[in-house]
Amino acid sequence: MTSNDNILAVEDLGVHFGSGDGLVKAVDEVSFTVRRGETVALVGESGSGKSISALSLTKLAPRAARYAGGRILFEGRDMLALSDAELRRIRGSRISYIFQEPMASLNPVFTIQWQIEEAIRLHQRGVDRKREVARLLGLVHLPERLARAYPHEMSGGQLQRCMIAMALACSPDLLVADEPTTALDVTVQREILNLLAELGRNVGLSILMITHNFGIVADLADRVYVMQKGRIVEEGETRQVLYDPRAEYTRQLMAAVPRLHPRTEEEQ
Amino acid sequence: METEKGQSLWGDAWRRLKKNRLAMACLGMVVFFTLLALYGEGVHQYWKWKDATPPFQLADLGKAYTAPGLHHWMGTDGLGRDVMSRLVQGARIAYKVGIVTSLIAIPIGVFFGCIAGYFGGRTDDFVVWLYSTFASMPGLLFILAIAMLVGKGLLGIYLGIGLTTWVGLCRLVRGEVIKHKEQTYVQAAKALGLGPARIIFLHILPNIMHVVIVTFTLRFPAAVGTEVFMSFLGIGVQDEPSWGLMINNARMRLWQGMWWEMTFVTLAVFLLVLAFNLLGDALRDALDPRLND
Amino acid sequence: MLKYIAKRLFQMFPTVVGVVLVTFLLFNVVGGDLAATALGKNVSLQMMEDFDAQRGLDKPLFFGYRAGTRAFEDLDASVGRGRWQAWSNATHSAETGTVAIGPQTEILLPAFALDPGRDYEWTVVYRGKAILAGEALDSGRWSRAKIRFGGGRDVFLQTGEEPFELRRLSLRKVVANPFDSQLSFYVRQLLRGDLGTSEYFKQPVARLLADGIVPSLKLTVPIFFIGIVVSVSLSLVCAFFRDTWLDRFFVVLSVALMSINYLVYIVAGQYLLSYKLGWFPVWGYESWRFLVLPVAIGVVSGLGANLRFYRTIMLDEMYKDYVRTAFAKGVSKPRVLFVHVLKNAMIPIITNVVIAIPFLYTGSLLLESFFGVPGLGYLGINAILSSDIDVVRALVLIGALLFVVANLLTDLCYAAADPRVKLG
Repeated sequence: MTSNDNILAVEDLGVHFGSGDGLVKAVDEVSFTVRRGETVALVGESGSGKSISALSLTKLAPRAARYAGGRILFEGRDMLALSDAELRRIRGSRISYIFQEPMASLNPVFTIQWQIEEAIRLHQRGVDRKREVARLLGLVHLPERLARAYPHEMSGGQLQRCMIAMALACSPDLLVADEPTTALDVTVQREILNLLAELGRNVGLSILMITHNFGIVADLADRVYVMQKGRIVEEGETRQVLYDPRAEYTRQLMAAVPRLHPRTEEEQ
Repeated sequence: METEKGQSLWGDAWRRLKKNRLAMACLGMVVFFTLLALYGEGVHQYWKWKDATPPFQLADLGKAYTAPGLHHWMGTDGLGRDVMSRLVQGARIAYKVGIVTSLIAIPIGVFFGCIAGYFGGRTDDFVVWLYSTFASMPGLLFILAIAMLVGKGLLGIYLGIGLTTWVGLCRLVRGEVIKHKEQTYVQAAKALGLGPARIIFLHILPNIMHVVIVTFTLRFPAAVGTEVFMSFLGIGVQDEPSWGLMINNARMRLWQGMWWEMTFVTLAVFLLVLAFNLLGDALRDALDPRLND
Repeated sequence: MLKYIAKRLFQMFPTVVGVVLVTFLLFNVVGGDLAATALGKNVSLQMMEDFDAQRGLDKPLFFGYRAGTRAFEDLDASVGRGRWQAWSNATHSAETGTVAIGPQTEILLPAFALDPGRDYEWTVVYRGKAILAGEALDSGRWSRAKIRFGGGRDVFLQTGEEPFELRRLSLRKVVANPFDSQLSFYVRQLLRGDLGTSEYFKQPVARLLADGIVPSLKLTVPIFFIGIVVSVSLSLVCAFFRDTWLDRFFVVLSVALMSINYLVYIVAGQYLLSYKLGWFPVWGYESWRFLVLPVAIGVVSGLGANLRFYRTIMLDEMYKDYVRTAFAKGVSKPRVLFVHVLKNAMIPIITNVVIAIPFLYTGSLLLESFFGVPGLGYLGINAILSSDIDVVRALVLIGALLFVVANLLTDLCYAAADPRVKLG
């Protein structure tokens, strides 16, 4: 495959917090690529900078963050050089996100219908939004009646499906899933992962999966990058990394039994 | 972000506070006013001991309305009394009010908050009922009513403010105690067979002391403000130089162009209240580990 | 929803009882001798007795068969209390703790004519021979007697030839129904909707309140609404420009505004803007122009605390995950702020706003007295300065009851604004 197949290419990205003695290089010269239709996993423990990297793709990192060099090429355009308006057109329509805590990530005072419709309205004109919402809910195997519900009336699994439906609203090219199953029950985790795998296959979606869980990597990812303290310490085909990890850190991560891994909040 | 691990909450808080230059300036201001109040108390006691009318109370009509100058840095008032020495006495009264009302309100609030949070059930219902009732009372009007019934003077101020301001603290302490009650160190103390009084006051209370301290810092200026207000209305301090009385006197003179008394007194009130408010905010930020990042 | 309202109404009940009880305890117990506070020194005992009777203060506090009367001050010779100095032929001995009354003496005991419609009772500890209220007392040793009699005739203590000594003598009213107490009087009065009579104005308090409410509302309603609009808008500006100099400026400004004493706003505003610059009338209540300055001062004095509160709410919301989701969807910053954040922030804002409603009624105590607005605040300050007890009590009580109602309204608004609140 050639580099033209890359839908996303991150080159030497640096994201820093603070300055002087307090300087923290949350993301330090990180490079990775995602090809069309491919699922790539970015693996590391909390604080390794994987979430910041993911958020930086559309400059969503917290306000205190400073983009310190590198490029983020999405379909050949450098995201770091785009204006706010151009970034807004890409967010939600070309690159979509789903996050760790579906309950907190959805706005508690609006219905699911309203929130999905908003995503459609922002990027598409002349669509029958009601039918579109119904179609999207069908895509993630949710009954249409749930559209009228508020987030607190639904379970975590249902909410994460809604997040996915919302993310798919404008048929994005790249879905960034930031620890999408960490906050869910084990059985529900499986359902969501299956759904993501199914969407990757059927819709031809590229997925960038952020996780600390090698179980998920093994199930879903074609390729994997391992991050530690803001740097990429290992990369390769999933099979190759799983069977023959080169970095000591990767071995430690794999040895940590995922199910017993304490649920940790992503650092900011 | 990461913080160095300190020895204690207080050590940590002090380090954070030291970094906040505004807070340190406010602390300096508070210390300054405190010394002023202590000095004022000293002067007051001296004249009481000598059994003579202190000079800041003696009318000297020949010197009335002297503008600020070498002899009287802040000028004199309508009766020729030195504004600056009266201002110092005002600081003394303000501190007295702030401290005494806290001594009334804090024990009530802490006691009820602790027993309500710790025992729950009927006790809790009773305390919640008590503070919802007091919280319903229309603030200033209620204070003024108490002062009216108790009689003019400092006692009315103390009781009026003290008996109405324990509610907020009580609510906060109750919430904190409920949180702490479930923690292991309390469970451990219970398992050791310690009595409730010991657990509440020796184990839980030190851990929620920061709530009390922040509340005190933020309540102090409010009490001072209310005292100024009440004395201004004439139902507060009667024959000592309180800031409220000074503002009331200065108000009439202001219209005749005597700006100094009004300016210096209001400035003093403002600076004291501002310093306490900002310091209280900074303390809360420094002591509340939830806000660390 | 109806069920929820009913439930909350029911929960309101204990607080209402508490409020009534606290006002009762404050005035009837802590207040001490209300007649003395209200009427001052130079009034007759009869006037005080009438003052008490009108307000039910001549009844037992909670429950009892006896109640005091001002017609006769208790005599307790052991501590020298009582009005025996005024009696002819009476001598007090501090050593023995007795008052001895000489022979052939007739003393009119009550200070004023007793109510002919009711019974009274003497309690006396005595030695010797005398006639009290028509009953003969005769005992060689110290003994105690109770003498019950009807009011409506003069009551004398008469001695014959023999000596007569007193240790104690006290007069009580006999209460037919022990439940007819100050508390029940107060409660019944409130249930009738009677707020008492102003001693100062000699008018029913309800009338005074009705007269004062309109001017108060004219002042407080604009302060209330302008205050909300200004502080919420500024807090949104802070949230939009958070961590910039503009936001920091507003933070400092709000603390500074909070720290300026209310008095200073009034004095400075009146002096500078009205007197020096002549922009506004100084004092009076004639047209809307008279209200501009007090309204402006009311808004500015409340701005600091409100802005701070609303800014904290807005910033709390800004850091929540759903905001990140909205940005990730491509929502613009103004839309995130005004649609996503504001709708969430509305919940605490409503709470803060509704709870301030009682303030509309109480009026601005100082603003009204200083600018001569004849509202409830003006009434209140004057009532406190002139010890017009009934007016103060009514204002405190209604203020508290309104707060309880506002609390209920807050919960209902909360339930309406927040889909997460379960009703029932």
